[in-house]
Amino acid sequence: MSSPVPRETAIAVADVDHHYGAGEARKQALFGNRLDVRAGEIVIMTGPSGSGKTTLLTLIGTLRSVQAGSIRLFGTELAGLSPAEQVRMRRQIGFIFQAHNLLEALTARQNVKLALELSDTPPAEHDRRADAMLEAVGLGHRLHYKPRHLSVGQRQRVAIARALVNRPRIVLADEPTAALDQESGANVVALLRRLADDQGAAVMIVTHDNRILGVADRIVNMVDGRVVSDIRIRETMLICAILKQCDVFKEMSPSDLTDVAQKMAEERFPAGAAIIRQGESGEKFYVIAAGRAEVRRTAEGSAPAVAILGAGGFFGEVALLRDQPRNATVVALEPVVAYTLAKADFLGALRTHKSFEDQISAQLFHRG
Amino acid sequence: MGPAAQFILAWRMLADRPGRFLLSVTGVAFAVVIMFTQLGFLNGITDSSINLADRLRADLVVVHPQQEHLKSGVEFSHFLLQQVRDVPGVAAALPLYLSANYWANPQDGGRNRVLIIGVDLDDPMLDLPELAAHRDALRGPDTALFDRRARAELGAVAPGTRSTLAGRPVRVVGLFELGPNFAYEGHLLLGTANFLRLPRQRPDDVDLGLVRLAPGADPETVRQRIRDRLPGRLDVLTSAEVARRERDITTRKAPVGIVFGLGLLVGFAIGTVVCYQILFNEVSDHLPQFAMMKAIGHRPRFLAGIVLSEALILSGGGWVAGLAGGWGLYAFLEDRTALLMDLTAPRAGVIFVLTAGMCLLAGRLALKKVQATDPADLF
Repeated sequence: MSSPVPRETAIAVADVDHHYGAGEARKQALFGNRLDVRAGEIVIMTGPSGSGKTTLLTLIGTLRSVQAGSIRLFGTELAGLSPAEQVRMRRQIGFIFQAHNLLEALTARQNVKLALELSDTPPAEHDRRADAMLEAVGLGHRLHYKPRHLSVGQRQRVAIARALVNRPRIVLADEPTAALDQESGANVVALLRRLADDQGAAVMIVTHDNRILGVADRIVNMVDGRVVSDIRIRETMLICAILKQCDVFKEMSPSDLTDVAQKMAEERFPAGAAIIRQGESGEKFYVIAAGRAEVRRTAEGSAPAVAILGAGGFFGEVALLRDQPRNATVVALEPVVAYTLAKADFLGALRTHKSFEDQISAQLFHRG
Repeated sequence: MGPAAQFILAWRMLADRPGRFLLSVTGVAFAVVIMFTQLGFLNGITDSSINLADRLRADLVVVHPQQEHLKSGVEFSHFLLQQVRDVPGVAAALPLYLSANYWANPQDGGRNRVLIIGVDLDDPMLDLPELAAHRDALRGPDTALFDRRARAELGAVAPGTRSTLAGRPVRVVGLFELGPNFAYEGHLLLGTANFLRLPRQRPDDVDLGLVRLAPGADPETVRQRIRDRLPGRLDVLTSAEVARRERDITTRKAPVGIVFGLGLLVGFAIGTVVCYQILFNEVSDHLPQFAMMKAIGHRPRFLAGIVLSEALILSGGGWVAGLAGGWGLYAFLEDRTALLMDLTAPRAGVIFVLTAGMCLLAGRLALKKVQATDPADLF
């Protein structure tokens, strides 16, 4: 299991409300939403129609003005942008619409070039870039076909090529696979995955297509204008795999493990940083996902290293269980990626899982 | 991305549906033909109205101060013309007589209103080359030159034809070219002596005094001198001013000019509506695409460029087709009305400007729909 590369936050949604209409007809569509999407992440948004997911998508896409709250795309605040700035911002985003909206009068290549013309790519490169992109979506043999001579799936792939040709760092897609058969859909999703992995693009997909859930890093579910769940699928799987390696967790059922994993947050520490300090009150439980850390216990003026922890190692549980200050300091020896569980969640998991409690007790006994 | 990209895109969008494009061009061409026709009539009337004024080759023209135009029939005394002759700088001052009267069709005897022009045969100060060729023949009694371009109702007239003019017998000794106008079906040219033999014509009733300046004399100075000599009794104009006066009277004061000027405006309005209808449909059909272009970051100016390019292409196509139609129509109308229907390059240019104007105006209106599209609706 390779450790995830640290990624910057691509999309940061904070306290976003949105209203439609005015006066008596004024209706709130979004309520205090928060959502962070990192570069390289694919987030699938689900929810019943009218749940506000499309509204949120259009706000992130700079297609609507932010009314209340804050949306940042790679650090740039969208609230308060002028219309001209909004247009410029939209050029950084790849849009995939449910209706492909290709220009019927233009060939596949010309349609893709319509987006390329918005980039800084030198015009001499346009044909080559457009052709390469169409090649990538499997339409290398249809460059000079107009949409009316392409199948529905092929048209959608042209639209996807148009959205991706400028290598956008943010891709917003609305049911990109709805019109596609199994194989085409899988191809499109693989393409999006590659864009996220190779170029660090943040991809948000609104879909009801169960077939593509597997590609997602996270699944965000919205109901009545609120994000009601945000499941980090890939991360959860990663954490579960690490937890599985820990003695204390290996007896847990997959569903309990998933519950624990979902409550954990990622934290990163540079080499030399103290992750916890002896004498502080304990608030979190730590599992190391990557990197090594050293446990030091101060006694009579010296602080000898008592243990080295690697991936799968965990610490911090004693202070939580005994409600005592930390009994040791843990220092990162190299950059460390850790997953943390808050005290309340840790104790909650403990209570619901009897064998877990036994394991911990045994552990406590050993650590004294 | 320059305007060329928008133009090419506009062309591709229009050319994608050739049938519809042809229909649209035909619609615009229809309006263009209407405008051509109205402008043709308007020009035909003004061109025809100044047909005589245009031939004046006098350095200065003196008229009665109350004469509004050449056909108003306000005359002045020959005595005044003699005084003009004495003004320093004036080499010659000769009368031109005009009289409206009836000409009998030599075939069926039908009466037609013509303008009779009485000129000094030795020094007519008119640009009518046929006059010199027939000078001697016109000295004979009851002789006249007949306007070759007079309306067909005046009958088939050739040198030697005899008929009746103002109740007197007349013999046509030759033909000249002037063309009819809205007031007169044709013109006849007579020597002064023959003119004064017509009923109720007196040498004293001069319509125009044609003045030739001595070599080196300044027209403005001489004009002022004539005014000083005969204050308030004569107006002094140049030949060009006489022509302008004729044109103004026809286009601004005469109902015909107003009618066809208004017709031109109506043609423009019809064209704008037709063009708007075409562009509105074109834009409506592509609205999601326009919204998509907006969404992916094309500037409003780019979209405006596409719609206005479409308008320009339509106006160009409509103009070319309308020009061909207008050409044929002019030939037909000139043949039927004997009015001058000249399709000159500047006039075709005026129509192009009007056509482009109406299409761009329509494009501007249709553009509102594009501007109102919300790219957020695409999701």
